[in-house]
Amino acid sequence: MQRAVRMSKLGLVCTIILLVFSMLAAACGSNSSNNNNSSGASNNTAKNDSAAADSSNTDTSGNAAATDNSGGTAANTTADLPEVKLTWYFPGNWPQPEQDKVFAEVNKVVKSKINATIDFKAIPFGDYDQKMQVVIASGEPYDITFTAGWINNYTQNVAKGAFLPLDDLLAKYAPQSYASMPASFWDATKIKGQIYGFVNQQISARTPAVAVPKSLIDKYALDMNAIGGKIGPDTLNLLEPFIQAVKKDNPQKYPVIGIDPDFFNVEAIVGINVPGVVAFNDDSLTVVNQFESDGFKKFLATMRDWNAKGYLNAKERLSKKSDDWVDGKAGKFIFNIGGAFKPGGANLSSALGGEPYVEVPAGTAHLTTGGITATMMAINRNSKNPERAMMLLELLNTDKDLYNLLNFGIKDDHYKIDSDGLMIPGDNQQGYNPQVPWMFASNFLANVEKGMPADVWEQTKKVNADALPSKLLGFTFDAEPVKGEIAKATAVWDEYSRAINLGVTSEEKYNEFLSKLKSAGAEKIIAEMQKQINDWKAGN
Amino acid sequence: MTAVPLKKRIPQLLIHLVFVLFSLACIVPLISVLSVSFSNEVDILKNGYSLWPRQFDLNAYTYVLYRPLQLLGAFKVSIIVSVVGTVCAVLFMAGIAYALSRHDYKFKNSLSFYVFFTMLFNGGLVPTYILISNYLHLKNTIWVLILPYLAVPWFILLLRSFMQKIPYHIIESCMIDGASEFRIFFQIVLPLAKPGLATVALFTMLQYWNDWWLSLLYIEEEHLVPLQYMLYRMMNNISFLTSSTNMMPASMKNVVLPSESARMAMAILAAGPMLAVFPFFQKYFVRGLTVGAVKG
Repeated sequence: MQRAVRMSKLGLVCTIILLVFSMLAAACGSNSSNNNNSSGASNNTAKNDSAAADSSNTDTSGNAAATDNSGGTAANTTADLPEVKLTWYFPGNWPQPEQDKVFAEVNKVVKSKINATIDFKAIPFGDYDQKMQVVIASGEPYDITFTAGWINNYTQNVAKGAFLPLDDLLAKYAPQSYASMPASFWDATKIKGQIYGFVNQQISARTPAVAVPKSLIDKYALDMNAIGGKIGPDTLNLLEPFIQAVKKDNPQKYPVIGIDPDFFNVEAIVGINVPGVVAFNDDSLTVVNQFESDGFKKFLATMRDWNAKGYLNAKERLSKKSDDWVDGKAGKFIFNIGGAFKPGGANLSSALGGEPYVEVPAGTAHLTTGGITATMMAINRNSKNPERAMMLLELLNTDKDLYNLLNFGIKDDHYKIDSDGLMIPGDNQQGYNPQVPWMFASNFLANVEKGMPADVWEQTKKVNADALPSKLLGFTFDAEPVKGEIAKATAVWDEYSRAINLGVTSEEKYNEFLSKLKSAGAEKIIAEMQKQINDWKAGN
Repeated sequence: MTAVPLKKRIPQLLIHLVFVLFSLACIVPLISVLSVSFSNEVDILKNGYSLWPRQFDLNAYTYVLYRPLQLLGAFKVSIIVSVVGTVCAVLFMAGIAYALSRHDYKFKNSLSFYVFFTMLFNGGLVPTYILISNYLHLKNTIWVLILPYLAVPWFILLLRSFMQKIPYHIIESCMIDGASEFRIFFQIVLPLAKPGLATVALFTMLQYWNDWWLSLLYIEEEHLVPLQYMLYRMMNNISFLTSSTNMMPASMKNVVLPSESARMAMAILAAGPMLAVFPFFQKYFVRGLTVGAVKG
């Protein structure tokens, strides 16, 4: 028996060790397995959805008939509307400590206006994609969800049949919002000729912002007006005298130039990291590899030159994957080209950079599908009350007080209005400050913050209106057929991009980068893009 | 103090050195996290991390503890889930494992296969989600954090083979003495299986304590959020916002993130109590593991 005991102890030790390792392995592998799960899941659901869609059609028509009499007027007459509960999923910097209090206030208003209450499902950004995948796949009842190109993917969900076409509902229950936007905005959301997304208006025109600390502008006499709208890959040397002057006194400072499709005056079909762009001025809509373009080569040459002159502090920055405002706060930026220019945007840069910044647009702003579809609401195809959901969206997009309540919290508690009518933080701002104004409804209803120009939304509308619409407006790329190639190309880009950005790439390395992209399937991706664009063009 | 000859001291010193280095490797990251959490944000940005805060600053803690109830609530949920879950799970699994270990149990093989089968195949994410949220209606209840891990097939098989080593004669003689099945199970088998139970309990407890996946899927109400999910959520948000996506709305690119020191303060508050509690538990675990198993 003694032996048996010893054996069992030995076995136990072995098992423990095995378990420890398997746990470690499980922890390392969990990410990928989750991904597998979810992609498998999305395949499964196509069937579910089509089945559900059939039944819901009869459903909605029945409902529409029931509420028709009230809907015709659409003028917030609650008397004949039965009370309903709407479930609304949206991402953000949740949870906020006092969100329940604010949501309760919102519900009071919504109840009195359209006799509905909202079940707020405020999901943290990082979880939203995963969460919506299971919610949509499982057919769980909900009414409204936030959707976009970058989160809870709009095109994929429409392809799955998850959303309701909105054309009729928009005309009937949201005439004001429908009229408030140019037709081009609605066109951008159309898939196979139908609108599935309710656009939350915001700054949609894109060009990078050139943000420069005010102290440096004053000291080294940089004429911001002279460079505004003129910075592109060919004209970066306009900034060289300024860099040189600053650098002489402040060797620790360096310029930051983000590699952005808008900077190169091209529309990226997927993103800057994936080969395949169309130049904004190209009428023939030919997809080309941006990394082989003249603009990119020119940019590469300038960066090499700047690095050779010691402007970029490449050694110090190479170890970090990207530049962020943390370095700005540490006082290291000469200027930062990146993000997107918008009126009043300098306010935020100043907050992030810890000192006053001034911003000008880098180039000419363009209106792209991605820019418009970055913030949308969609209605569930299986929603029991689609017309009430649409009424809610209209209400949020027209009722300024309601919108600001949802956005900034309770007046004189979470925020205050100063004597000039500008918004300043309240004593209890920490209680509710989700910082996602573009998420709830049209950003143009938001209170103007102190430090922004009073007519910031007028200016923004003007920027949107003045922007050159992309010739691809309304086209959205279905990445599914070349998913594997895109992943490979992205990996190649991740490997080389930082070195390119910091000008430490030799000609040899650059060629290696191009050939690696090629073997990753760059040509196949570009061919697929071209094919889809041609089909889209033929269909329009 | 007896003088040890030099020859013997050198290897000893080397061994000590190895362990000193190992201990340092374990403790230095912890200290630096602690230091960062007490540091001034600007100091970190300017000078990087250090093992001792340049300037003692409690800002991060006042930020994190702005609503201490949230953190305490998360602790409460985590502790309840871990304790209740571990006790239930061990009892549950020991029960199945005991049945499987009895060779006079008629459906032993088919039940074994039933348990083993779920190790290889499972329903997949979406069907599981549909079952739990639409049919069992467990969403937003504390049970959804406990029930799914009640029976882990791997542990069941482990316990089964452990219990198989308990000589059947013991059980037989108990029967002759007139003990009921329950009495045999609770008073004879469980005490004899203690080392195995302790191992399984330890791992189950860790699994419950470290889990955020279930809460990500099924918990939407703030008062049911466990600690790990709270941390995961915070870190996940940050990595999501910093990963560059050029499709994001313009104003998204510049969202202000919780400061470095606030993140570390959160980690300290979350890990701290466990650090203090664990050594005491560990004593029991070790004892449980070394208790002489079966007396013949």
